Amino acid sequence: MIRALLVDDEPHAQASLAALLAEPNTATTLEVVGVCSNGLEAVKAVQELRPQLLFLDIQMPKLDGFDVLELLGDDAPLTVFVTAYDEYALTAFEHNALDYLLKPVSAERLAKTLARVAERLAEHHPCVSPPASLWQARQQAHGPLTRILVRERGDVHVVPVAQVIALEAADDYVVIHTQARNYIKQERLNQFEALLDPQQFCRVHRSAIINLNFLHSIEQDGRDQRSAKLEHNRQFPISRSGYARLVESM
Amino acid sequence: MHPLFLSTRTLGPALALWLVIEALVAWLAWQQHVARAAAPPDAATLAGLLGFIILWYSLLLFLCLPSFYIAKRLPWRGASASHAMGAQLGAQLGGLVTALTLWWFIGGAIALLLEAATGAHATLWYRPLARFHLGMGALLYCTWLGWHWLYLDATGEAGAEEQHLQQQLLVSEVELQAIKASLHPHFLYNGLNLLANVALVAPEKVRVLCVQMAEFLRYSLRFGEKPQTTLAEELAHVNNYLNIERERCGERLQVHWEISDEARSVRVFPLLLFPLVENAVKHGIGSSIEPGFVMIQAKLSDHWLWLAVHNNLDPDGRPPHGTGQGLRALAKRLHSHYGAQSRLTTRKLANEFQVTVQLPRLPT
Repeated sequence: MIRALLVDDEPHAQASLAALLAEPNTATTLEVVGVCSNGLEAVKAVQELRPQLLFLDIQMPKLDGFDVLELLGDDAPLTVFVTAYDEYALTAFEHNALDYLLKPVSAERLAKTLARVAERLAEHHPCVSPPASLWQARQQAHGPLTRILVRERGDVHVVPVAQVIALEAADDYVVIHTQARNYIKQERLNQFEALLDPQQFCRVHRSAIINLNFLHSIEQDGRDQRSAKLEHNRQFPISRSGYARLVESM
Repeated sequence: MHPLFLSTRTLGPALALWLVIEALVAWLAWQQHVARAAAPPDAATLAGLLGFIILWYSLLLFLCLPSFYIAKRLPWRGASASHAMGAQLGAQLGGLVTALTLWWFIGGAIALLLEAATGAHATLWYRPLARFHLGMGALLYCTWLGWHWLYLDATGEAGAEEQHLQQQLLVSEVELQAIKASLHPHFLYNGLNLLANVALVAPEKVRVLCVQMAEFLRYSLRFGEKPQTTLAEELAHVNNYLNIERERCGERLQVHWEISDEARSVRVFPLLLFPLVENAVKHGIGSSIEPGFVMIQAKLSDHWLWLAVHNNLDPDGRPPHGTGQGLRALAKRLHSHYGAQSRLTTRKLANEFQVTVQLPRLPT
């Protein structure tokens, strides 16, 4: 039995897709293990229920379908996008969606999709390759980053970029500093540097990007060593090239 | 820019043609000379003739060009045509006299210089043929003038026609946008999608939804025909829309009404309320995961009708598309209907967005 999760913000859309999937010819092979109304619920449900197949609406408030996949990262199951607009088709396939269904979903089209699902799951490694370029490709089209999405076990946090004091690199992840708390995101600092507004954020060191709005002072520690003192007791080293960049942007 | 210099394709042939004309002038001058004094041709005389004519008449070419700019600056069409015509002819005559005078005196200098420098008999061809040259000069100048007029006439008219066509295109585009908007393609798409889903899971609701959609579209399509309607009809229209949206979003959309009874019969222009409500739904529940609301208020004072539409706002939400055009368009319509007496204000609070419209209460 294929375990499937449905995600759509419209209750009738959820119900009608569930009804189509409950038809006799599919009910024997597929079981709907959960239904979610938004991206937050979806991330949590994938964590908890571990479905093999995800029917994902793209147009949803606050977190859209692509945000959900980004947050799930490697944990994302096989995904079929179900959506009203075909303009996302190309992006969907870049994100390794298995298929793309346009609303309203016809029974015939759904049957074809399910056949492909069965095929893919029968393969030995039906994994979805991690959407590494997913985030970057989408963001670059929309201008500088305005918010950062963070997944913590099953919870999703939406961190507005204006609240970010600094970003610090650590091993293969990044620590996002805000006043209330720190978050961790599996991304490289370089990715953030490329996507953040250069007027607001400056890469002062190989391991740190600071938000200029929170910059309190720059102190000289030694002959060539400087550090940036930020609000809320945060402090980061400034490298030589970082200092040049800092001076330029101020 | 004079059209001759616009491309080398016109300049080349024009210069070549002018050389031919110069050759013709030289030949004519020769005939004149031969008719007067039957001296045999010699090299110096011939050289003098050719050199002088080529240099001097090339200068004439450039002196003819300013008539283009005079013609361009002084239009001869318009309200007082005879006035404009008179001004144009006067200016061109002035131009002709100035050009020829200048040309004549420079010609003298050219002849002297030529003779001094090369020994060719250039002055021979200058003073004695004064009447010939001035006649030729005037003729060539007027030919250029005529050509300039024809050119400006042809392209000028073309310019005016193009402008007229562009204007018509703009008007058609605006009309097209208005018609497209009244068809509500997104609403139709979402509505049909909803009906497809509802037919499968709650078929008893299909009829009601179809009727509401049809009523909504009927009102919208007729909007251009009626200059006025009542607030009650506007509210019914908006209610149809909200019912469809409520069915679509489920419990996420809560609708609250605070309408005073007397306000219902006030006359307003059609589709005053819908843009506000559509905006509220898109930006309110369209951006938030939590349940949201739309509140519609209408109250009447002695002289004014107050309308307000409030919706929830998620500060962290992804802002939807739409750059406030709907509200701007509405503000324009309000202004054209009521002038300075109407007001549209917006207010953004932490979790709420409010739009208020103030209208004069017209006698019913």
